[in-house]
Amino acid sequence: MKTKRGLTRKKSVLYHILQQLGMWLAAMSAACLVLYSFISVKVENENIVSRRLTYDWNLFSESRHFDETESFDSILWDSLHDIIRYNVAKSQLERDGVFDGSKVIDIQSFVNRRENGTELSGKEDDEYLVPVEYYLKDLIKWQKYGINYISTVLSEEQFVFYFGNKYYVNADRYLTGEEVDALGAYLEDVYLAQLFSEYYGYISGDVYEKYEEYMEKYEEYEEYMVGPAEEPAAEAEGVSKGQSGSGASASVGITVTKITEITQLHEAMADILLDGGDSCVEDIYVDSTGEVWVVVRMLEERYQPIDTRNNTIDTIADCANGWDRYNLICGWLEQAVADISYNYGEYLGFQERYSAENSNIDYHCEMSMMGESVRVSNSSLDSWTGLDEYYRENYGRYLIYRPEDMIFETNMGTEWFNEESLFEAFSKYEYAYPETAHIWLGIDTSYPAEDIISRANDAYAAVHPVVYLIAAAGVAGLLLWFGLFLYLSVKTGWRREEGGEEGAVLTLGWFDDIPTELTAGIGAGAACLLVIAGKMLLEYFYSFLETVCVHRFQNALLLSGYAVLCSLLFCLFWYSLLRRIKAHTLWKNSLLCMLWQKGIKRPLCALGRMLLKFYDNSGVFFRSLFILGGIMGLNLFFGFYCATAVMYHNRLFLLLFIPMIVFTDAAVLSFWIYHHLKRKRIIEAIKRIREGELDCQIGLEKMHGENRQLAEAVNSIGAGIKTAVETSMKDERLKADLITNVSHDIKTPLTSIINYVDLLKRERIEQEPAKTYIGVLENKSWRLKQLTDDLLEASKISSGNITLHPENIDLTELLKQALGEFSEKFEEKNLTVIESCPQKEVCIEADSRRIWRVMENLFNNICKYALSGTRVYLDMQTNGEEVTLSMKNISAQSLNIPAEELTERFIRGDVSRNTEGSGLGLSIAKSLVEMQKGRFEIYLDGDLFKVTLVFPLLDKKEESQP
Amino acid sequence: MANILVCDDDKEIVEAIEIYLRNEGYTIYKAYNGEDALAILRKEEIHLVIMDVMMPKLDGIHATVKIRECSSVPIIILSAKSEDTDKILGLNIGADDYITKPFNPLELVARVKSNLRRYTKLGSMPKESSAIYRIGGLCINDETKEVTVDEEAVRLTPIEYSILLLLVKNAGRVFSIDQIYENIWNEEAIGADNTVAVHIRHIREKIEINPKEPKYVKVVWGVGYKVDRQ
Repeated sequence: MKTKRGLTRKKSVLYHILQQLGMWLAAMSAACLVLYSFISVKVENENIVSRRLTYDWNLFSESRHFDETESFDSILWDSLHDIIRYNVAKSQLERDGVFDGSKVIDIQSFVNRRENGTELSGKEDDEYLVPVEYYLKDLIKWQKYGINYISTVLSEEQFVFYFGNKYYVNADRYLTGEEVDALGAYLEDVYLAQLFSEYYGYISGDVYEKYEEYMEKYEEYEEYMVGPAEEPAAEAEGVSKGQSGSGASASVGITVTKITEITQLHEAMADILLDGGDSCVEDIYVDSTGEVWVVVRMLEERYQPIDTRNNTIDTIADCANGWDRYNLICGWLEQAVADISYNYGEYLGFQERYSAENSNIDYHCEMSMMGESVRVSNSSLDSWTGLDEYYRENYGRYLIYRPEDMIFETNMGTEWFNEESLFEAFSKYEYAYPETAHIWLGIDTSYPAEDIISRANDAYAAVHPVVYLIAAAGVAGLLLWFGLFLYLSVKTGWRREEGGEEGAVLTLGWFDDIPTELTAGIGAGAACLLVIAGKMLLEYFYSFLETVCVHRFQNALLLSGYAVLCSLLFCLFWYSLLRRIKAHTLWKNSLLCMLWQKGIKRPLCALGRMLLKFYDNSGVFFRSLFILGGIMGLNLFFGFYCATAVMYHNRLFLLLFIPMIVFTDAAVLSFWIYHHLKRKRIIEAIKRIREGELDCQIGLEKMHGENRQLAEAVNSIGAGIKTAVETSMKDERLKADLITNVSHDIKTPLTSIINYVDLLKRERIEQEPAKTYIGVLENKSWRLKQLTDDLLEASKISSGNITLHPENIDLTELLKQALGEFSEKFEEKNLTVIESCPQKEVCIEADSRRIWRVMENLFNNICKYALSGTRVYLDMQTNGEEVTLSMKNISAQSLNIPAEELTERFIRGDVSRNTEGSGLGLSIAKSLVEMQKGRFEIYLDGDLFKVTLVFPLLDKKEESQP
Repeated sequence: MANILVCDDDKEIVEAIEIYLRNEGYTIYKAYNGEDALAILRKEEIHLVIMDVMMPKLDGIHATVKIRECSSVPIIILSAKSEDTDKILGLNIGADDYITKPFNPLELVARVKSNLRRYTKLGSMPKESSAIYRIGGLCINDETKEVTVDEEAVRLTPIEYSILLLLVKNAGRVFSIDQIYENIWNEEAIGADNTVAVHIRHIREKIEINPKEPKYVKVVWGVGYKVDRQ
């Protein structure tokens, strides 16, 4: 298995810090590249809407200096426009080169200066004869306070007094009586609807549409109605027609009598028609006495124009020859106030921004407007001659444009400036004469003053030389972050102990122990906060762009800090997620899992346990009832219900009952299967015990009812047999040990006895009884030796204390060898051996020395107990699977004990036990044969003693060698 | 003659051994535990050691190990322990022979003589021609047709000689009865009886000290006969 290599704590912390460092580097570099590639300033002055100027440039451009870039020219282009505007404003606001508040402005010509200023005076309409003039300072002042109107209630006479003629209603058109009737019918609904809205509120769009639709319908009708309709109006008051158009802005006089006649319905009509227009009267009503009152919106009295020509002008109304005109002048006044004050604001701004101290742009600009030549300059050079050389020589960048002399000269870096573009710039002002304009523009490229160009240049110069370095650092940071991200994703959680071996342990931090859902919630919350913070940051940047430009580096730090914060939080949650997946705690450590474990699984288990306990504690009858009775009863019950449900009730009940039957049957069936599986285990255990595996124990957990009793019984039987076997083995071993020790202890004195008997024998004692005694001593001492040896062997065999070394043994060979060894002994007893062996190898698997011991014992037995002069039969037969070796001899003494007892220990053929032999020979032989998977049988028939050995034959793999 | 150290904690056994060996003309030194034996070995010139295993103070096994650290004197272990494992242990730690109690005094004397001969004659071997075969103390001279065991001549019949020569020439190889028969009689061994087995028993009786525990001609029961390579 591949061993995981973990990280030590130190290394892990180091890598995490490095990763965040990478993110910081990347974010910092990106922020720098963005923040250093633009400049923004806010142009603010009183009376004008503040304006933001933003220029950006490409930091990766090849231009080494800022004045070679397009942005530089773009700034300059806007400056050129500013200067032209400054020049224009100057012509409006200055007299003899200085600002003059008491300059008199004719608002009519001012407002219309763009259209045809020079032709104004030539208009034949007498309406223009009276100029409306104001002081410049008043106009600027009014902008601050606003132009105020006042609602004035005028009677018809007063209205005529003020405005010289009938009042004007800027209605769409006059309606005839029939029309009004028709309309009235229609408008009843509309008006009622309108009552709910504000009185002077507007009529909703679809009402207006309906109205217009309605009007269209009556267009034809109107056409032949116009004649008769106009006549009565003209007759009554003398119609004053405005610019009569096709319909939209037709002004039609309405007679007072008409109004009185029309009453409420007409009033409503008028409301609709009056709605909107500034120049409308606000309200017309008729009081109880029949007097008509008009509510009009009039300027306050302080806005009276100055009377420069002693025309006894008191109010604007004096200048106007009618309600229409009055409204027009009001409009002019408002426009003039707005324009003049705006220009004034701009003028002040330009004056400041393009002063010699505040700007690096030096200029001379001359334009002729409204017939007079206006010159502006902030140059230290006062003279207006020899400017070409001056600009060429003193400024890094310059522009000279004199269309009159067909001179255009510049050393600007780009194609931005050319004659056409400059001409267009000047011709924006129709009242100026572009062809008479002259402009000299110069920029000191050492930038002595601090202005937008110098600041842009600073930013450009600061970053442009190292821009590739910054970009490379950013890319490197990003790669570092990403690389470590992948690496740590693989490694996170695998922790190697400090100084420990290679292996790694999956280690979780405290953060990983927070439940999964909670962590996800926290993560989502953090993400939301970050998004909100990011949005706020963006808004801040957008609304304070010019401040951002000033503190570029600090803002880059702020941005990169934000990025690192995002990355940190992301990494925290991401690595935790990975660790959880690796440790398989994503599910285990979740609240849902806990709910499942505690809320669902545990109660179910508890119910199951309770049922099983009931089952365990009940008797046989109830157990049977529990399973069979339960399932039969339930099935019967549900079956009955199903039947009744089908017959009497809603069949939908089936949907309820059938699953219940299925569920209970499935539950009982699974219990039944479970029960039998457990029983199978018991049977297997019994089998194993029978095969001798006495250690086998059945686990009692999850056993219930009879199974449990059975298992317990089997366990105790197994354990009982095991202890019994162990005890007997132990006893046998103890006996063997005892015999071994005793025989060792016997041997030492026996040695002395044998030795000294031998020494005695050597003394050549010839006295007869003594010599016989010594002979007896010698004989018996050697028998004692034989006895102890046999005893030792027998005890070893019976205690299983010997090890066998099985090999392939040829039984015929063994028989020949044995016969060779015993040939003399047989001869001594005059025994004839008659053998019948197969003439081939008879192979069995046995321990060579042990099988010899068997033969030796058996042959010794024959020698000892066979009747002298008889024949001994040795027979060997094979039957394909087994080999049978039988030995038959005639016993010298009658065998008066059962055959089985002959192989018991210490049993001999004679009860008196006075022959030689230990009585262990047959016992040892039998044990050894049985140990070598053979069978040992003794057959007694009168004096015939027959021993049969049966061994399994080893497959005759190779035919016997010759 | 040679000096023999007899070491056993049973005084009677030591004295009995002394009697036998003195009769043979050896000088006997007696010790009753391992430490005494080591002390005598340091003082006297000893040519053979007879050592019991179970003794007080220092047992025979440890004493044998100590003797082998500084001397190559023949050591015969005399022990009541008759297990194979005991014999193997004794021979492995450096003993030259292993006799179990109770022992036949004549066998003991024979083994003592055999070991002494080999010890004293060691290093003075005559230059051997290719016709001389040596397995331990057994030596067959094929030119003179003489067989000696520990320098003592043994008389064998021609058939016995042929069988022994065959086994010695192919020391380590196991011959079955049929194979031996075919080699010696040069006939096919059909129904070969126990003649070969009887001959081999006779050879064993002639060249072995204890024919039941043969040193040279070994019986592999149920397989055949062999002479171990020394």
